[in-house]
Amino acid sequence: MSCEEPTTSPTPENNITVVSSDGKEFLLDLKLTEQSETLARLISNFEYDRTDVKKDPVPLGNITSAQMQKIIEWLQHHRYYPKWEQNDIHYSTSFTFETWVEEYLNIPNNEMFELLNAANYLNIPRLFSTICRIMASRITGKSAEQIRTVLNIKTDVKNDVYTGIPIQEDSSSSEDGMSEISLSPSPPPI
Amino acid sequence: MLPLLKLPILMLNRVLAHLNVFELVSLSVCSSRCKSRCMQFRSSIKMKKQIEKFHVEFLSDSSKVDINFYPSLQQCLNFELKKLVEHSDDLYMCIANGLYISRNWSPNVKHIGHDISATWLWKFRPIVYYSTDLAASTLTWVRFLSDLFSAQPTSLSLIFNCFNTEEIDRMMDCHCSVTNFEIDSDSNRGVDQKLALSILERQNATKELKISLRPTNETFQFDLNSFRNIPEFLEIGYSFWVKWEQVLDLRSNANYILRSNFSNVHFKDLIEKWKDGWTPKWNQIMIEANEILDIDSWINDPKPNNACVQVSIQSEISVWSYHQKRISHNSSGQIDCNGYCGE
Repeated sequence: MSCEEPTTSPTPENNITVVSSDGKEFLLDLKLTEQSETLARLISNFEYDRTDVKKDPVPLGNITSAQMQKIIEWLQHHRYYPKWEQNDIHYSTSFTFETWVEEYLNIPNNEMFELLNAANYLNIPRLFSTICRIMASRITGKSAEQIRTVLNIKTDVKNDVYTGIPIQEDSSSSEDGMSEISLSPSPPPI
Repeated sequence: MLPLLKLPILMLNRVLAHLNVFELVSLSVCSSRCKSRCMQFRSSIKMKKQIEKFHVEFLSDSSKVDINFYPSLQQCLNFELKKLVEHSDDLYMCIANGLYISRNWSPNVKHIGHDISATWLWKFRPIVYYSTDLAASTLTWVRFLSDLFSAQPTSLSLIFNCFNTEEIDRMMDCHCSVTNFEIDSDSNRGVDQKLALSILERQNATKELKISLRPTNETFQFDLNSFRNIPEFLEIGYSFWVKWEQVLDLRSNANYILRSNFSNVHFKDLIEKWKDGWTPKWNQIMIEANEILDIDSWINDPKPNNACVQVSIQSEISVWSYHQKRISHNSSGQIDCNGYCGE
Protein backbone atom coordinates (compact mmCIF):
# COMPACT_ATOMS: atom_id res chain seq x y z
CA MET A 1 0.00 0.00 0.00
CA SER A 2 1.29 3.42 -0.83
CA CYS A 3 -0.13 6.87 -0.28
CA GLU A 4 0.55 10.20 -1.83
CA GLU A 5 2.68 12.32 0.40
CA PRO A 6 2.03 16.07 0.00
CA THR A 7 4.85 18.17 1.32
CA THR A 8 3.84 20.15 4.36
CA SER A 9 6.10 21.98 6.74
CA PRO A 10 5.14 22.20 10.40
CA THR A 11 4.08 25.57 11.67
CA PRO A 12 4.15 26.61 15.34
CA GLU A 13 0.38 26.15 15.54
CA ASN A 14 0.31 22.56 14.38
CA ASN A 15 3.40 21.04 15.90
CA ILE A 16 5.01 20.05 19.17
CA THR A 17 8.63 19.67 20.20
CA VAL A 18 9.90 16.38 21.55
CA VAL A 19 13.29 15.96 23.19
CA SER A 20 15.26 12.73 22.87
CA SER A 21 17.24 11.17 25.72
CA ASP A 22 20.45 12.77 24.41
CA GLY A 23 18.89 16.23 24.44
CA LYS A 24 18.15 16.75 20.75
CA GLU A 25 14.92 18.55 19.90
CA PHE A 26 12.58 17.45 17.11
CA LEU A 27 9.69 19.44 15.73
CA LEU A 28 6.76 17.11 15.16
CA ASP A 29 3.64 17.83 13.15
CA LEU A 30 0.52 17.08 15.19
CA LYS A 31 -0.79 15.08 12.26
CA LEU A 32 2.17 12.72 12.58
CA THR A 33 1.67 12.23 16.31
CA GLU A 34 -1.77 10.70 15.64
CA GLN A 35 0.05 7.46 14.78
CA SER A 36 1.55 7.32 18.26
CA GLU A 37 -1.06 6.52 20.89
CA THR A 38 1.30 7.69 23.63
CA LEU A 39 1.87 11.12 22.04
CA ALA A 40 -1.76 11.46 20.94
CA ARG A 41 -2.94 10.86 24.52
CA LEU A 42 -0.37 13.30 25.88
CA ILE A 43 -1.42 15.99 23.40
CA SER A 44 -5.04 15.41 24.23
CA ASN A 45 -4.43 15.55 28.00
CA PHE A 46 -2.44 18.80 27.79
CA GLU A 47 -4.71 20.20 25.04
CA TYR A 48 -1.69 20.88 22.83
CA ASP A 49 -3.97 20.75 19.82
CA ARG A 50 -5.34 24.16 20.86
CA THR A 51 -3.54 27.17 19.46
CA ASP A 52 -3.94 29.20 22.66
CA VAL A 53 -2.13 26.64 24.85
CA LYS A 54 1.57 27.01 25.49
CA LYS A 55 3.36 23.87 24.33
CA ASP A 56 6.28 22.77 26.45
CA PRO A 57 8.84 20.40 24.90
CA VAL A 58 7.97 16.74 25.57
CA PRO A 59 10.91 14.74 26.97
CA LEU A 60 11.20 11.20 25.63
CA GLY A 61 13.72 9.74 28.06
CA ASN A 62 13.74 6.26 26.56
CA ILE A 63 14.39 7.25 22.98
CA THR A 64 17.68 8.37 21.50
CA SER A 65 17.96 10.95 18.75
CA ALA A 66 18.92 8.26 16.21
CA GLN A 67 15.83 6.26 17.07
CA MET A 68 13.65 9.37 16.97
CA GLN A 69 14.99 10.22 13.54
CA LYS A 70 14.12 6.75 12.34
CA ILE A 71 10.64 6.93 13.86
CA ILE A 72 9.91 10.29 12.27
CA GLU A 73 10.85 8.77 8.94
CA TRP A 74 8.25 6.04 9.56
CA LEU A 75 5.59 8.52 10.70
CA GLN A 76 6.10 10.71 7.66
CA HIS A 77 5.88 7.78 5.27
CA HIS A 78 2.60 6.62 6.84
CA ARG A 79 1.19 10.09 7.33
CA TYR A 80 -1.81 9.51 5.07
CA TYR A 81 -2.34 5.83 5.74
CA PRO A 82 -5.67 4.81 7.24
CA LYS A 83 -5.79 4.25 10.98
CA TRP A 84 -4.17 0.98 11.95
CA GLU A 85 -6.52 -1.80 13.01
CA GLN A 86 -5.11 -4.83 14.65
CA ASN A 87 -6.77 -7.99 13.40
CA ASP A 88 -6.70 -11.28 15.22
CA ILE A 89 -3.69 -13.16 14.06
CA HIS A 90 -4.46 -16.72 13.11
CA TYR A 91 -2.13 -17.98 10.50
CA SER A 92 -0.44 -15.75 8.01
CA THR A 93 0.80 -17.69 5.03
CA SER A 94 2.93 -14.91 3.66
CA PHE A 95 5.41 -12.50 5.09
CA THR A 96 5.57 -10.05 2.26
CA PHE A 97 6.37 -6.41 2.91
CA GLU A 98 6.38 -3.22 0.96
CA THR A 99 9.70 -2.46 -0.68
CA TRP A 100 9.93 0.73 1.34
CA VAL A 101 9.38 -1.23 4.58
CA GLU A 102 12.02 -3.80 3.64
CA GLU A 103 14.53 -1.03 2.97
CA TYR A 104 13.51 0.87 6.10
CA LEU A 105 14.02 -2.21 8.30
CA ASN A 106 17.17 -3.37 6.55
CA ILE A 107 19.12 -2.52 9.67
CA PRO A 108 21.25 -4.49 12.15
CA ASN A 109 19.32 -6.68 14.59
CA ASN A 110 20.27 -4.62 17.63
CA GLU A 111 18.95 -1.45 15.96
CA MET A 112 15.76 -3.25 15.08
CA PHE A 113 15.35 -4.29 18.70
CA GLU A 114 15.85 -0.73 19.88
CA LEU A 115 13.37 0.46 17.29
CA LEU A 116 10.88 -2.14 18.50
CA ASN A 117 11.30 -0.83 22.04
CA ALA A 118 10.78 2.71 20.86
CA ALA A 119 7.68 1.70 18.90
CA ASN A 120 6.39 -0.03 22.00
CA TYR A 121 7.13 2.98 24.21
CA LEU A 122 5.48 5.44 21.84
CA ASN A 123 2.75 2.92 21.07
CA ILE A 124 2.95 3.05 17.29
CA PRO A 125 1.01 -0.12 16.48
CA ARG A 126 1.72 -0.28 12.76
CA LEU A 127 5.48 -0.03 13.29
CA PHE A 128 5.42 -2.36 16.27
CA SER A 129 3.41 -4.98 14.42
CA THR A 130 5.57 -4.69 11.30
CA ILE A 131 8.79 -5.27 13.24
CA CYS A 132 7.23 -8.25 15.03
CA ARG A 133 6.21 -9.68 11.69
CA ILE A 134 9.70 -9.08 10.25
CA MET A 135 11.21 -10.92 13.22
CA ALA A 136 8.77 -13.80 12.84
CA SER A 137 9.67 -14.01 9.16
CA ARG A 138 13.25 -14.81 10.16
CA ILE A 139 12.00 -18.02 11.82
CA THR A 140 8.97 -19.06 9.85
CA GLY A 141 9.42 -21.91 7.43
CA LYS A 142 12.74 -22.91 8.99
CA SER A 143 13.65 -26.26 10.49
CA ALA A 144 14.64 -26.54 14.13
CA GLU A 145 18.29 -26.72 13.16
CA GLN A 146 18.00 -23.58 11.02
CA ILE A 147 16.24 -21.80 13.88
CA ARG A 148 19.09 -22.77 16.17
CA THR A 149 21.49 -21.17 13.70
CA VAL A 150 19.41 -18.00 13.40
CA LEU A 151 19.11 -17.66 17.17
CA ASN A 152 22.68 -18.89 17.76
CA ILE A 153 21.65 -21.69 20.08
CA LYS A 154 24.21 -24.35 20.95
CA THR A 155 23.26 -27.75 19.65
CA ASP A 156 24.67 -29.97 22.37
CA VAL A 157 21.90 -31.86 24.13
CA LYS A 158 21.97 -32.89 27.74
CA ASN A 159 18.91 -34.89 28.58
CA ASP A 160 17.19 -34.38 31.84
CA VAL A 161 17.17 -37.81 33.47
CA TYR A 162 13.79 -37.24 35.07
CA THR A 163 11.83 -35.65 32.26
CA GLY A 164 13.86 -36.71 29.26
CA ILE A 165 13.57 -33.16 27.96
CA PRO A 166 16.76 -31.58 26.66
CA ILE A 167 18.48 -29.02 28.81
CA GLN A 168 20.34 -26.52 26.70
CA GLU A 169 21.68 -23.09 27.23
CA ASP A 170 21.25 -20.86 24.26
CA SER A 171 24.06 -18.42 23.82
CA SER A 172 22.15 -15.54 22.35
CA SER A 173 22.26 -13.51 25.54
CA SER A 174 25.69 -11.91 25.52
CA GLU A 175 27.24 -12.46 22.14
CA ASP A 176 25.17 -9.86 20.38
CA GLY A 177 26.46 -7.05 22.56
CA MET A 178 22.99 -5.98 23.58
CA SER A 179 21.85 -5.22 27.05
CA GLU A 180 18.70 -6.69 28.49
CA ILE A 181 15.62 -4.88 27.32
CA SER A 182 13.55 -3.88 30.29
CA LEU A 183 10.57 -1.87 29.14
CA SER A 184 7.97 -4.53 29.68
CA PRO A 185 6.85 -5.92 33.01
CA SER A 186 8.39 -9.07 34.37
CA PRO A 187 7.00 -12.23 32.83
CA PRO A 188 4.23 -13.81 34.86
CA PRO A 189 4.99 -17.04 36.71
CA ILE A 190 4.20 -20.18 34.73
CA MET B 1 22.08 -13.53 14.65
CA LEU B 2 18.61 -12.75 15.94
CA PRO B 3 18.55 -12.41 19.74
CA LEU B 4 14.83 -13.07 19.81
CA LEU B 5 14.77 -14.56 23.27
CA LYS B 6 16.05 -11.28 24.71
CA LEU B 7 12.73 -9.66 23.93
CA PRO B 8 10.44 -8.82 26.84
CA ILE B 9 7.68 -11.35 27.15
CA LEU B 10 4.86 -9.23 25.74
CA MET B 11 6.86 -8.28 22.66
CA LEU B 12 8.03 -11.83 22.14
CA ASN B 13 4.45 -13.03 22.36
CA ARG B 14 3.52 -10.68 19.55
CA VAL B 15 6.29 -12.19 17.42
CA LEU B 16 5.33 -15.76 18.30
CA ALA B 17 1.71 -15.02 17.39
CA HIS B 18 2.83 -14.93 13.76
CA LEU B 19 4.14 -18.51 13.88
CA ASN B 20 1.95 -21.48 13.13
CA VAL B 21 1.67 -24.26 15.68
CA PHE B 22 4.28 -26.43 13.99
CA GLU B 23 6.79 -23.57 13.88
CA LEU B 24 6.14 -23.07 17.57
CA VAL B 25 6.99 -26.72 18.21
CA SER B 26 10.10 -26.37 16.05
CA LEU B 27 11.21 -23.37 18.07
CA SER B 28 10.47 -25.06 21.38
CA VAL B 29 12.64 -28.11 20.61
CA CYS B 30 15.65 -25.85 20.04
CA SER B 31 16.41 -25.35 23.72
CA SER B 32 14.82 -25.40 27.14
CA ARG B 33 14.79 -21.60 27.15
CA CYS B 34 12.98 -21.56 23.82
CA LYS B 35 10.49 -24.04 25.17
CA SER B 36 9.99 -21.99 28.31
CA ARG B 37 9.25 -18.85 26.27
CA CYS B 38 6.87 -20.73 23.98
CA MET B 39 5.12 -22.19 27.03
CA GLN B 40 4.60 -18.70 28.41
CA PHE B 41 3.12 -17.64 25.10
CA ARG B 42 0.71 -20.58 25.08
CA SER B 43 -0.19 -20.42 28.77
CA SER B 44 -3.04 -17.91 28.57
CA ILE B 45 -6.58 -19.16 29.08
CA LYS B 46 -7.48 -18.06 25.55
CA MET B 47 -4.67 -20.18 24.12
CA LYS B 48 -5.57 -23.20 26.21
CA LYS B 49 -9.14 -23.06 25.00
CA GLN B 50 -7.96 -23.31 21.41
CA ILE B 51 -7.26 -27.01 21.81
CA GLU B 52 -10.30 -29.01 20.80
CA LYS B 53 -8.79 -32.48 20.88
CA PHE B 54 -5.53 -34.00 22.04
CA HIS B 55 -5.39 -37.59 20.88
CA VAL B 56 -2.70 -40.18 21.59
CA GLU B 57 -2.66 -43.48 19.76
CA PHE B 58 -0.34 -46.37 20.54
CA LEU B 59 -0.06 -48.70 17.56
CA SER B 60 2.04 -51.84 17.18
CA ASP B 61 5.30 -50.28 16.00
CA SER B 62 4.46 -46.59 15.87
CA SER B 63 2.28 -44.06 17.59
CA LYS B 64 0.33 -40.96 16.71
CA VAL B 65 -0.20 -37.73 18.58
CA ASP B 66 -2.84 -35.39 17.20
CA ILE B 67 -3.68 -31.93 18.48
CA ASN B 68 -6.59 -30.19 16.88
CA PHE B 69 -6.91 -26.42 17.20
CA TYR B 70 -9.83 -26.01 14.82
CA PRO B 71 -11.99 -23.90 14.77
CA SER B 72 -10.10 -21.42 16.99
CA LEU B 73 -7.12 -21.85 14.71
CA GLN B 74 -7.33 -23.36 11.26
CA GLN B 75 -4.52 -25.71 12.10
CA CYS B 76 -3.93 -29.15 13.51
CA LEU B 77 -0.83 -31.15 14.35
CA ASN B 78 -0.58 -34.85 13.44
CA PHE B 79 2.68 -36.25 14.75
CA GLU B 80 3.71 -39.76 13.88
CA LEU B 81 6.39 -41.49 15.94
CA LYS B 82 8.34 -44.00 13.91
CA LYS B 83 11.30 -46.21 14.68
CA LEU B 84 14.67 -44.74 13.77
CA VAL B 85 16.17 -47.37 11.48
CA GLU B 86 19.72 -46.11 11.49
CA HIS B 87 20.95 -43.18 13.49
CA SER B 88 23.27 -40.71 11.88
CA ASP B 89 24.29 -37.43 13.44
CA ASP B 90 24.38 -35.87 10.01
CA LEU B 91 20.75 -36.68 9.35
CA TYR B 92 19.03 -36.58 12.73
CA MET B 93 19.21 -34.46 15.84
CA CYS B 94 18.27 -35.59 19.31
CA ILE B 95 15.56 -33.47 20.89
CA ALA B 96 14.95 -35.51 24.02
CA ASN B 97 15.73 -38.82 25.60
CA GLY B 98 15.39 -41.33 22.75
CA LEU B 99 13.59 -38.87 20.48
CA TYR B 100 14.98 -37.59 17.18
CA ILE B 101 13.94 -35.36 14.33
CA SER B 102 15.51 -35.02 10.94
CA ARG B 103 17.88 -32.09 10.55
CA ASN B 104 15.61 -30.59 7.93
CA TRP B 105 12.50 -31.25 10.02
CA SER B 106 9.49 -30.01 8.16
CA PRO B 107 5.98 -31.37 8.10
CA ASN B 108 3.96 -32.79 5.30
CA VAL B 109 1.27 -30.10 5.05
CA LYS B 110 -2.21 -30.97 3.91
CA HIS B 111 -4.78 -28.32 3.15
CA ILE B 112 -8.35 -29.27 3.88
CA GLY B 113 -11.21 -27.30 2.36
CA HIS B 114 -14.19 -26.35 4.44
CA ASP B 115 -17.72 -26.82 3.15
CA ILE B 116 -19.34 -23.85 4.83
CA SER B 117 -16.82 -21.08 4.39
CA ALA B 118 -13.84 -20.56 2.17
CA THR B 119 -11.38 -21.23 4.96
CA TRP B 120 -8.76 -23.92 4.96
CA LEU B 121 -7.53 -26.28 7.58
CA TRP B 122 -3.79 -26.69 7.71
CA LYS B 123 -2.79 -30.17 8.79
CA PHE B 124 0.87 -30.37 9.78
CA ARG B 125 2.03 -33.98 9.74
CA PRO B 126 5.65 -34.16 10.92
CA ILE B 127 7.52 -37.33 11.83
CA VAL B 128 9.36 -37.82 15.10
CA TYR B 129 11.68 -40.81 15.49
CA TYR B 130 12.28 -42.97 18.54
CA SER B 131 15.38 -45.06 19.07
CA THR B 132 14.33 -48.03 21.19
CA ASP B 133 11.28 -47.75 23.44
CA LEU B 134 8.07 -46.71 21.66
CA ALA B 135 5.95 -46.42 24.79
CA ALA B 136 8.48 -44.39 26.77
CA SER B 137 9.35 -42.15 23.82
CA THR B 138 5.70 -41.47 23.04
CA LEU B 139 5.00 -40.60 26.64
CA THR B 140 8.02 -38.26 26.63
CA TRP B 141 6.78 -36.54 23.49
CA VAL B 142 3.23 -36.28 24.81
CA ARG B 143 4.56 -34.75 28.04
CA PHE B 144 6.63 -32.28 26.02
CA LEU B 145 3.57 -31.20 24.01
CA SER B 146 1.40 -31.13 27.14
CA ASP B 147 3.86 -28.73 28.75
CA LEU B 148 4.16 -26.62 25.64
CA PHE B 149 0.44 -26.24 24.99
CA SER B 150 -0.69 -26.39 28.63
CA ALA B 151 -3.09 -29.21 27.81
CA GLN B 152 -3.53 -32.84 28.69
CA PRO B 153 -4.55 -35.59 26.28
CA THR B 154 -8.30 -35.97 25.96
CA SER B 155 -8.32 -39.16 23.98
CA LEU B 156 -6.28 -42.37 24.13
CA SER B 157 -6.29 -45.31 21.76
CA LEU B 158 -4.26 -48.39 22.53
CA ILE B 159 -3.45 -51.68 20.79
CA PHE B 160 -2.87 -53.19 24.16
CA ASN B 161 -1.32 -56.56 23.29
CA CYS B 162 1.69 -54.89 21.64
CA PHE B 163 2.91 -53.68 25.03
CA ASN B 164 3.95 -55.34 28.25
CA THR B 165 2.27 -54.85 31.61
CA GLU B 166 4.79 -52.31 32.79
CA GLU B 167 4.35 -50.16 29.69
CA ILE B 168 0.57 -50.39 29.97
CA ASP B 169 0.76 -49.32 33.60
CA ARG B 170 2.79 -46.26 32.64
CA MET B 171 0.34 -45.34 29.88
CA MET B 172 -2.68 -45.74 32.11
CA ASP B 173 -1.05 -43.79 34.92
CA CYS B 174 -0.15 -40.91 32.59
CA HIS B 175 -3.49 -40.75 30.80
CA CYS B 176 -6.01 -41.87 33.37
CA SER B 177 -8.03 -38.68 32.89
CA VAL B 178 -8.82 -39.01 29.18
CA THR B 179 -12.49 -38.68 28.34
CA ASN B 180 -12.32 -40.83 25.22
CA PHE B 181 -10.71 -44.24 25.35
CA GLU B 182 -10.28 -47.05 22.87
CA ILE B 183 -8.74 -50.44 23.51
CA ASP B 184 -7.84 -52.52 20.50
CA SER B 185 -5.80 -55.66 19.90
CA ASP B 186 -3.39 -56.87 17.26
CA SER B 187 -4.94 -59.94 15.65
CA ASN B 188 -1.51 -61.47 15.07
CA ARG B 189 -0.71 -61.58 18.76
CA GLY B 190 -2.28 -63.32 21.72
CA VAL B 191 -4.71 -61.50 23.98
CA ASP B 192 -3.94 -61.39 27.68
CA GLN B 193 -7.46 -61.33 29.10
CA LYS B 194 -6.35 -60.38 32.58
CA LEU B 195 -4.43 -57.39 31.27
CA ALA B 196 -7.32 -56.35 29.02
CA LEU B 197 -9.75 -56.47 31.91
CA SER B 198 -7.42 -54.49 34.14
CA ILE B 199 -7.19 -51.79 31.45
CA LEU B 200 -10.97 -51.62 31.12
CA GLU B 201 -11.35 -51.33 34.84
CA ARG B 202 -8.77 -48.53 35.04
CA GLN B 203 -9.93 -46.34 32.18
CA ASN B 204 -12.08 -43.34 33.06
CA ALA B 205 -13.81 -42.51 29.79
CA THR B 206 -16.85 -40.32 30.24
CA LYS B 207 -17.57 -39.42 26.63
CA GLU B 208 -16.61 -42.30 24.38
CA LEU B 209 -15.45 -45.82 25.10
CA LYS B 210 -14.58 -48.18 22.28
CA ILE B 211 -13.74 -51.78 23.05
CA SER B 212 -12.31 -52.93 19.77
CA LEU B 213 -10.20 -55.79 21.06
CA ARG B 214 -10.90 -59.25 19.70
CA PRO B 215 -10.85 -61.79 22.51
CA THR B 216 -9.21 -65.05 21.45
CA ASN B 217 -10.72 -66.99 24.30
CA GLU B 218 -14.41 -67.94 24.17
CA THR B 219 -14.64 -67.59 27.94
CA PHE B 220 -13.82 -63.88 27.86
CA GLN B 221 -16.28 -61.99 30.02
CA PHE B 222 -16.53 -58.50 31.41
CA ASP B 223 -19.16 -56.76 33.49
CA LEU B 224 -20.07 -53.76 31.38
CA ASN B 225 -21.45 -52.03 34.44
CA SER B 226 -18.15 -52.15 36.28
CA PHE B 227 -16.64 -49.15 34.51
CA ARG B 228 -15.54 -46.31 36.77
CA ASN B 229 -17.69 -43.91 34.74
CA ILE B 230 -20.61 -44.40 32.42
CA PRO B 231 -19.46 -43.26 28.97
CA GLU B 232 -21.98 -41.37 26.88
CA PHE B 233 -21.12 -43.58 23.92
CA LEU B 234 -20.11 -47.23 24.08
CA GLU B 235 -18.92 -49.25 21.10
CA ILE B 236 -18.01 -52.93 21.30
CA GLY B 237 -16.30 -53.97 18.10
CA TYR B 238 -16.29 -57.75 18.64
CA SER B 239 -19.27 -58.39 20.87
CA PHE B 240 -19.69 -62.16 20.60
CA TRP B 241 -18.83 -62.37 24.29
CA VAL B 242 -21.56 -59.95 25.33
CA LYS B 243 -24.64 -61.61 26.83
CA TRP B 244 -28.14 -60.47 25.93
CA GLU B 245 -28.88 -59.52 29.53
CA GLN B 246 -25.88 -57.20 29.42
CA VAL B 247 -27.27 -55.45 26.35
CA LEU B 248 -30.58 -54.86 28.05
CA ASP B 249 -28.78 -53.48 31.07
CA LEU B 250 -26.41 -51.09 29.26
CA ARG B 251 -26.29 -47.64 30.80
CA SER B 252 -24.57 -45.55 28.14
CA ASN B 253 -26.72 -43.10 26.24
CA ALA B 254 -25.73 -44.51 22.84
CA ASN B 255 -24.41 -48.01 22.20
CA TYR B 256 -22.95 -49.74 19.16
CA ILE B 257 -22.76 -53.52 19.50
CA LEU B 258 -20.90 -54.81 16.46
CA ARG B 259 -20.34 -58.37 15.17
CA SER B 260 -22.67 -59.86 17.75
CA ASN B 261 -24.02 -63.40 18.02
CA PHE B 262 -27.54 -62.15 18.55
CA SER B 263 -30.32 -63.48 16.35
CA ASN B 264 -34.02 -63.02 15.69
CA VAL B 265 -34.89 -64.58 19.05
CA HIS B 266 -33.09 -61.88 20.98
CA PHE B 267 -34.56 -59.02 19.04
CA LYS B 268 -38.03 -60.45 19.34
CA ASP B 269 -37.46 -60.58 23.08
CA LEU B 270 -36.46 -56.91 22.95
CA ILE B 271 -39.68 -55.96 21.16
CA GLU B 272 -41.78 -57.97 23.59
CA LYS B 273 -40.15 -56.36 26.59
CA TRP B 274 -40.59 -52.98 25.01
CA LYS B 275 -44.27 -53.62 24.39
CA ASP B 276 -44.70 -54.81 27.97
CA GLY B 277 -43.58 -51.44 29.22
CA TRP B 278 -39.88 -52.05 29.82
CA THR B 279 -37.76 -48.97 29.37
CA PRO B 280 -34.02 -49.34 28.77
CA LYS B 281 -31.48 -47.05 30.40
CA TRP B 282 -30.02 -46.26 27.00
CA ASN B 283 -31.56 -43.99 24.42
CA GLN B 284 -29.97 -45.44 21.34
CA ILE B 285 -28.59 -48.82 20.38
CA MET B 286 -27.26 -50.26 17.15
CA ILE B 287 -26.66 -53.99 17.00
CA GLU B 288 -25.07 -55.98 14.21
CA ALA B 289 -26.85 -59.35 14.25
CA ASN B 290 -25.36 -62.54 12.86
CA GLU B 291 -28.43 -63.39 10.78
CA ILE B 292 -30.88 -61.45 8.66
CA LEU B 293 -33.53 -60.03 10.91
CA ASP B 294 -37.19 -60.15 10.10
CA ILE B 295 -38.33 -57.26 12.22
CA ASP B 296 -41.67 -56.88 10.51
CA SER B 297 -42.77 -60.31 11.69
CA TRP B 298 -42.24 -59.35 15.34
CA ILE B 299 -44.70 -56.51 15.22
CA ASN B 300 -48.34 -57.51 15.14
CA ASP B 301 -49.50 -54.03 14.28
CA PRO B 302 -50.28 -53.03 10.68
CA LYS B 303 -47.17 -53.47 8.54
CA PRO B 304 -45.56 -50.19 7.72
CA ASN B 305 -43.68 -49.55 4.56
CA ASN B 306 -41.46 -46.50 4.73
CA ALA B 307 -44.36 -44.83 6.43
CA CYS B 308 -45.28 -43.65 9.85
CA VAL B 309 -47.02 -46.22 12.03
CA GLN B 310 -48.48 -45.94 15.50
CA VAL B 311 -47.24 -48.62 17.87
CA SER B 312 -48.90 -48.99 21.22
CA ILE B 313 -46.25 -49.50 23.84
CA GLN B 314 -48.15 -48.70 26.96
CA SER B 315 -51.86 -48.50 27.34
CA GLU B 316 -51.89 -44.75 27.83
CA ILE B 317 -48.94 -43.67 25.74
CA SER B 318 -48.70 -43.76 22.00
CA VAL B 319 -45.33 -43.78 20.36
CA TRP B 320 -44.81 -42.93 16.75
CA SER B 321 -42.24 -45.09 15.11
CA TYR B 322 -40.73 -44.97 11.68
CA HIS B 323 -39.89 -47.97 9.65
CA GLN B 324 -36.49 -47.97 8.00
CA LYS B 325 -35.25 -50.45 5.46
CA ARG B 326 -31.97 -50.11 3.61
CA ILE B 327 -29.52 -52.40 1.86
CA SER B 328 -25.92 -51.38 1.46
CA HIS B 329 -22.80 -53.09 0.22
CA ASN B 330 -19.24 -52.87 1.38
CA SER B 331 -16.07 -54.89 1.03
CA SER B 332 -17.31 -57.43 3.59
CA GLY B 333 -20.58 -58.09 1.81
CA GLN B 334 -24.17 -56.93 2.03
CA ILE B 335 -25.74 -55.20 5.01
CA ASP B 336 -29.52 -55.33 5.45
CA CYS B 337 -30.74 -52.54 7.68
CA ASN B 338 -34.31 -53.04 8.83
CA GLY B 339 -35.79 -51.41 11.87
CA TYR B 340 -37.88 -48.86 13.63
CA CYS B 341 -37.06 -45.69 15.37
CA GLY B 342 -39.47 -44.00 17.70
CA GLU B 343 -40.04 -40.52 18.89
